[in-house]
Amino acid sequence: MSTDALLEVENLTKRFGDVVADDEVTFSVREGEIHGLLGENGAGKSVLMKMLYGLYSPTSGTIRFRGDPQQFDSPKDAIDTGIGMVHQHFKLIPRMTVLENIVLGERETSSPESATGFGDRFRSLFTRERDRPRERVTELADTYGLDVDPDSKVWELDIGEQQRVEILKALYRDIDLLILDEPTAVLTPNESQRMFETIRQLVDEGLTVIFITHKLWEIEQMTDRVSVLRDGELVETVETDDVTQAELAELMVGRDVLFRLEKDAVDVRAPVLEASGLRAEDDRDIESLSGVDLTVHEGEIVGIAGVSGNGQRELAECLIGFRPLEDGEIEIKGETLTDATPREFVDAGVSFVPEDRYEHGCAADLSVMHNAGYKTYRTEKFESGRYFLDYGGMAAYASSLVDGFDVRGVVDVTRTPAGELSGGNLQKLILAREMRRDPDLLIANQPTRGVDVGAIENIRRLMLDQQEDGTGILLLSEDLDELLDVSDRILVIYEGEFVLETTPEETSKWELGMYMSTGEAPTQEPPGEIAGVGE
Amino acid sequence: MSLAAGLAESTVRLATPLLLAAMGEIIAERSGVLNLGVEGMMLAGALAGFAGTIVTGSAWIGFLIGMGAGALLALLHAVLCISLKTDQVVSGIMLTLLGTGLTTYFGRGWVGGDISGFGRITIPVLSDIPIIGFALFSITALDYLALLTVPVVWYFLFRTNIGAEITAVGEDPETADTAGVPVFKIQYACVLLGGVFAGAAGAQLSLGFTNFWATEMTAGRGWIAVALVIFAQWQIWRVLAGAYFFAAIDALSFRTGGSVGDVFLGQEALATVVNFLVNPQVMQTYPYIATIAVLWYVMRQGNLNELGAPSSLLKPYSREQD
Amino acid sequence: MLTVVAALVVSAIPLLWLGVNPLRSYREIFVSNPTNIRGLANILVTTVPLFLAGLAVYLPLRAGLWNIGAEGQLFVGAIVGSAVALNLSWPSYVLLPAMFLFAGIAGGLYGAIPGYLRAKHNVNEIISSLMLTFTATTFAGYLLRGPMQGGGGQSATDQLPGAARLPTVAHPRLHVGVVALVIFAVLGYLLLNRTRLGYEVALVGSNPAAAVQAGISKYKTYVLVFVIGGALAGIAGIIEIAGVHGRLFEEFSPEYGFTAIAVALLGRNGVFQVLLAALFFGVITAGGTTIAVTQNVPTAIINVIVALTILFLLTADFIRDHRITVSYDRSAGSDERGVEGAS
Repeated sequence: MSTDALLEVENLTKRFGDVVADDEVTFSVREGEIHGLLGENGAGKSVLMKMLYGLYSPTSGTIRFRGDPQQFDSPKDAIDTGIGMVHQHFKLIPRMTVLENIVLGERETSSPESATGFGDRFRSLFTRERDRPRERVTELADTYGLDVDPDSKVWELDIGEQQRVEILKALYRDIDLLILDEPTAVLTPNESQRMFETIRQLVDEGLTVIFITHKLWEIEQMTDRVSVLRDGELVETVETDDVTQAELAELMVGRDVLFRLEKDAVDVRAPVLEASGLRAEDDRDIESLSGVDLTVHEGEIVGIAGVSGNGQRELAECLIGFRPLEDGEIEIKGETLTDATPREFVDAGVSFVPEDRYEHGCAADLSVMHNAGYKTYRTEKFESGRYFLDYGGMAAYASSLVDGFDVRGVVDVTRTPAGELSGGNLQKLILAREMRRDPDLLIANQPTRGVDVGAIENIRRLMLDQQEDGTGILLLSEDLDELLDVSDRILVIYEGEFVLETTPEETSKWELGMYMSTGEAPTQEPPGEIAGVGE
Repeated sequence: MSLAAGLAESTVRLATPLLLAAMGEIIAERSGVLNLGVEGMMLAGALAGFAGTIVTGSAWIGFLIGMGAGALLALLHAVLCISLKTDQVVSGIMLTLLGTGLTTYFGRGWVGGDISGFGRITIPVLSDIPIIGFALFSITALDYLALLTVPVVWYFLFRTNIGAEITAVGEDPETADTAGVPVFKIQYACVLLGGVFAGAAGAQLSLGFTNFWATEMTAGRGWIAVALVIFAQWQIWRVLAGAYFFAAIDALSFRTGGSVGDVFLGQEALATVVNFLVNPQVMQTYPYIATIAVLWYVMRQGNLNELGAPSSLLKPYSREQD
Repeated sequence: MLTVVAALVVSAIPLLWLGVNPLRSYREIFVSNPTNIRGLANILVTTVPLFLAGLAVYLPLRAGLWNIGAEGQLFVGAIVGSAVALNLSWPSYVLLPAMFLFAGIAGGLYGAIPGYLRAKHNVNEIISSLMLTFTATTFAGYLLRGPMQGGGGQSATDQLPGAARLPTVAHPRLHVGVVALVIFAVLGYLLLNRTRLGYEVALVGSNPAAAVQAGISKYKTYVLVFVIGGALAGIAGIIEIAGVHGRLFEEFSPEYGFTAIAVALLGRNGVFQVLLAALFFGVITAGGTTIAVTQNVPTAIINVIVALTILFLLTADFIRDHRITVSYDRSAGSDERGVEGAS
């Protein structure tokens, strides 16, 4: 390894149970460079960075900083070593001021000398110093063009300002290496440009930066070198000048897999979902769906491609009545369901597979039977008098789902808690629940994420079967192979808008990847060796 | 003494235990730990303080023992809520039951005991100021102490490094942790301080107010202190104001005989309503109703930044990994 | 079980302190008292309010909410039920049902307040139900020294008319209200395990977001569990007055509503477990009252044992949860992946 390496990572591995998030990752960062880290969601970028910042401890492997092996037990260790990080989800306390957030944990006192004796410790706890830190912050802010009022409360700031506070917070702690985790994900284009200027200034002043992103043009514009992660493995580290965006896209998404599901041509019939002008806000009240129109027909699978966080979740939740619409209209089979309750959507024949199966998809501590009945318990089938529920029938129904969809690990449907099933089997149970009721529309958000390979094929097969029965399916996925395999039509969503409508026959992984990461048509030709992939 | 001066004096003295207990509660809650055991801790402080005074012969030592008794129960709360991450509500209720049970059980032998307790310290000249003079300048050392704790706690929470760290822990322990703040140490310290204050509030009752011990002598003041912190939206100066408000209601309810409404001569209905509203027992419900009303009003506005509740109150914190 | 033993072992310390042999006390509480008809009657009669108030805590708990206000709902039921009894001179077979009905409605409406505030405005139900408890108990003080005060100058009502008293069976202390144990155990079991509402409560309690996506109204569920819980506590209040005391006075409830929290916690696995837990605390409360007389121990020992049982229950929970966390490694792993994927 080169001697001018500031940070060296050797064979770093992190496992969570059976899942390997990072597998023997090796790369190094040179002093004074902007090092890009590129990869799709789930490629292992965030876990890798959390290990570098002391939030996760590695399963195996070494981290060296300035040549010395490091063991970080907490973020404080990493900070003391000289590594700072700006998280994608800011670690700021909204109710405190900018200055308070920046100096939090530093215990500044009026005497600039480090505190050692009892009197000093007492003073560091029971007094505080604001003037000197304020001067220092102002000085840092001036040097790097990070203007922000140190005395305003953080909750009053916009996202760009909050990010500047995060950077100041890291700089205040005298770091040498700054990790920026998808810094532009939450910024507007103007704010992003400003962010880039800041990063350049940081490097000019001698800092080293690791820049995480999945937008190709940012890599090209900003970084000196780039390391590409795919499926937890480090594919390659290259000089940015030596590669084209097209080559990077190929490194990031990989080649086409050979396996492809047999898929019969399906006649497209009447529309089941017609939505127009949908606008919605995310949990932080920021608009994340900016007026989209969408139609899904009977027996049609419409795939939505996009990097996560571009409005997919909000779109899915609007279409089941869970998230309020700011604007727009929704019709299911000709019936207007704008602003309807989730129950009306369920009754209209809409099924839903949520993105996070533990958070939104199941009641983990209740039995498989309870979880199987979510959408059907109100139907006549299980009626037993006006108020009573036919639990025997529910159990039999649950058993039939378990058998029919090959859900494994269930000992007794009335006793085994859903949370004890493995991820793939739980997902099959959820799919079974949503499909067995023969919905008119199925909305599936990342149905195969975090599921093992065998189950993935199974789940895709189930969706195709359902399609043959005439169900319209909206499939939101980050897995381009999956979208190309099963979709009849594909839409690419970027920053809350559809930027491309195409079919698997007309497009390629490369083109989709470019639209997903830039929001625009590719300006270059695809690299020769992978041109024509997906045809 | 005029009626007004008498009312002012009772208000100040009745506010003392509320102030002390609420100051402790606000510290604990601002670190993210709700303490519903205040009533039990106050009783423990009252009995231990009283017994300690009789045994040692010194009210001050008794007072310290009372504070220690509160801290001891608080330690239990801290272990359960912070280390074992159990439900803060259940643990708090349990401590109140335990405190009530133990003090009633062991307090039997101390009923009827007699001490001189803390005497009045009258400051000449100042105490002659009409109405408020007597109330503010002829009270016991503990009453002065309680008044003094308000600016001290304010300074502690809002003008020191540790205060900022407490706020950070109560708002978002994960963020505090990443900034190198010792989350668990701070929560322990705050819960213990809360116990010390609650113990002091109880000891003040038996040593500086009644000068005797009686079963369940706190009479719900611990619960009022809990209500007070919420009523005051976790703001120190509002706690001070709220304590006087609640204490004034208490003081008034000793004195109004339910005939105030008679001034509305000839308007029977109005007089009945007013008499009902100023009835001593009815007035005793006001602190609780006011607290719900404040909470309801703030939540209706929907601005959580205005609701002063620490964001991670009631949520135990554990690191992402063990 | 271990929890109970641990609580009893620690409770022995205060007993020894007063020179009482704890084994003798426990023998009386757990063996002698339950085996004579008078003691048994006392136990059953004490179990009734504990069980009903326990259900008042347990039902909302199943939906994921804490009802700390059972004591207040119990008071409101007792007040309204007594008012009915004192003001209407109806025959027993009309009056008693009316008392129960109005006590239930009053308790239910009082319980609806925290449920509504939580469902509609997200006001913390713990705080509001607690505050409403003290509002009710304090207001009872006003009524008993004012409008409802009986003759004799005490803060209590007059004796209820004979028609408003629950008849007794087998023993003068054993009122027919004890059938409530059977009735409400069965009704509670059916409600939670056989009805559609019970299913919805379970889903909301386990995962509110998922339940809402399944089309269940969180609002309706939250209000209903509090209304039903409050009604049960209200009925407990009037049973205690009509069956045991014969008149309403300020200290008629030895904090049943708070002990109910321990009952719900100990019996959290099902309605019949709640019944067993209520019976356990009934045995301790009735037995504690007995040894107070025979062995000259303060009745406060009851509070101590109840508190210590909760204490050890909480500790045992931690130990159990900790074991589960270890064996849940797999799902924890996929959770972490979920976090990574969402970022």
